[in-house]
Amino acid sequence: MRGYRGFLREFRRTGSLRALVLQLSVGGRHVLRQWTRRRPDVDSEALFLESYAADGVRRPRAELRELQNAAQACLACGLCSGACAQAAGRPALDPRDAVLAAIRLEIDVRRLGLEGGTGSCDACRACELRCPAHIPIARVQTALGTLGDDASS
Amino acid sequence: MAGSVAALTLARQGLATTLVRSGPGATGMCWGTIDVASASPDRSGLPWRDPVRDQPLGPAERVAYLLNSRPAHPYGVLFPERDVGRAVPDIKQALDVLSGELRPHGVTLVGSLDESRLLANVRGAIRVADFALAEAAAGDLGRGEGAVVVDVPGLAGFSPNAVARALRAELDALGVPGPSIRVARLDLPQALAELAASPARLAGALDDPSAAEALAAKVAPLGGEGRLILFPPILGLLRTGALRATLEDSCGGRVAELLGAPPWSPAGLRLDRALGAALEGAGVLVRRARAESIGTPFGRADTVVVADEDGHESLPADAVVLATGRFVGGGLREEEEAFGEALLGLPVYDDRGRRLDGGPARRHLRRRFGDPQPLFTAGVRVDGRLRPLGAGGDVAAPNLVAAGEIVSGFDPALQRTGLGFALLSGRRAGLEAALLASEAVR
Repeated sequence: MRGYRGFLREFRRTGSLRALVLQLSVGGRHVLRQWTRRRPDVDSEALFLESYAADGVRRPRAELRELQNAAQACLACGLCSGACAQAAGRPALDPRDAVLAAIRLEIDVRRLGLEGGTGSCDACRACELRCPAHIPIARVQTALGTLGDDASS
Repeated sequence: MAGSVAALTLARQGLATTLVRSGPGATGMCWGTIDVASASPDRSGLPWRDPVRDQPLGPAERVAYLLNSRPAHPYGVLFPERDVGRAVPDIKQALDVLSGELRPHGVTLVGSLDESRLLANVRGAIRVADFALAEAAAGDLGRGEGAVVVDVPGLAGFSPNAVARALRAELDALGVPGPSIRVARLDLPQALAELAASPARLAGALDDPSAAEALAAKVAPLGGEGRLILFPPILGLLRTGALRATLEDSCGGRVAELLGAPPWSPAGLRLDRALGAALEGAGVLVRRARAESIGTPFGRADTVVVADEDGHESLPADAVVLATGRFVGGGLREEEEAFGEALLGLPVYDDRGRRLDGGPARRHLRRRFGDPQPLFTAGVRVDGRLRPLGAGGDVAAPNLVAAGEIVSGFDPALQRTGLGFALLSGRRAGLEAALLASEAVR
């Protein structure tokens, strides 16, 4: 409806019949295309996920969604990186990078290049003690490790 | 910083002190300087200058400017007579005490109120600083000696050529006789080069004496004899002083770190760690938990309710110091579109005295970056003894004092007095709390 109001306003402003013809032809073609390409037997969501599976897109999991929400509080301050280095931690991903990746949890696993069994840290939680946003970084690392396992399987 | 300094002050007076602490707060994001005087009068970033000598003003002169030109700044509470002659000895004493507390734990504070230091950051901007950690303070560009910016190959986000160009332009703009600045590429040992993608990991690895020796061998050919050697902030997490000494012996120059905020700089970690060790040495009980509320059943702050993984607990208190910071520390929170002070629901004001709490915080942000941002000056009002004030202007609790960024009236990042005020107010709050606690016992 909003688009249609825009058209009427434009029509009033210009008084152009050309706009009316364009609107009707484009709208008509869209409706026709939707009608002729109907595939009631296909699950469009499944089709979408199948198409983008190579990019690591997958249906969100509830437990990961919770972590993703927690990760969104990240200030990107990097105190966790320093704390991890101080504790001589050697996770596959720097804690700050892990949290930033967790914010984009559903798409970035493959781009991060995580491999199965290497994603997790030692869960010493030195990073969590420094995090001003109280993000459960060790759990984020474990979750990313799990996704890495999934991606490599 | 404010909470730690207040706790140290109380403990040194022989009082049983508990510090409730959920993290390092904004102190962990320190750039390596502790500024007690504002550097610039506005967002231009250019320092205050003496119009006659056409030179940047010294710290004491900048404190005087701050006291007289910013009536809302909480220095007005600490120094109500606005007399810099009285403020300077107080500031010196507070810095001396902090310096004495930190030095045994590997952090050395360097600076004075008599002269400014021109310190460069990892982007090549120059900061006019008063006090700084020794590794940063050594990088004073105002001495006129030639400087070498060290190029560490593979170090993420560091561009030494851009730093050198920016430094030359900044020194020209400041009217300071510019030293010659060149870039020298460091050939890192293989084991260290693999860590260069993460500045924090590289710094951590350099705490190992054998890694420090290996680095020293590579620094010697840089040709830094008699020059200032500016490293990115990677010179160790815990043993920075020893590493600098090793490198200086090796190259014959003065080794310093560029300033930088986390994740670039471990300065905040070093400061936080040394404060933690000082607290332990002073006998302060540090409770790793988050303060949830302060109980004031009969008008006095009698208990602090803390929460950790084991649940909630009420800690009894004769006096309480509120040093919860603002947004990083968690002293100011927004819950369900209502922004306010987290523990007592105290009214929050900006530097113009407008009340901000109650609605969403975003209402107090201006769209353009250059506009004054009321939200960044938000905090609680205090009386002359640093006691927070309630909505009616009365004292919220007679035995409650506030310190640090939770106090309103200044923008700690823009006015560069965040850690300076945290130190001075933390010390004053500790002294006041000691007095209030002894009154309670009587």
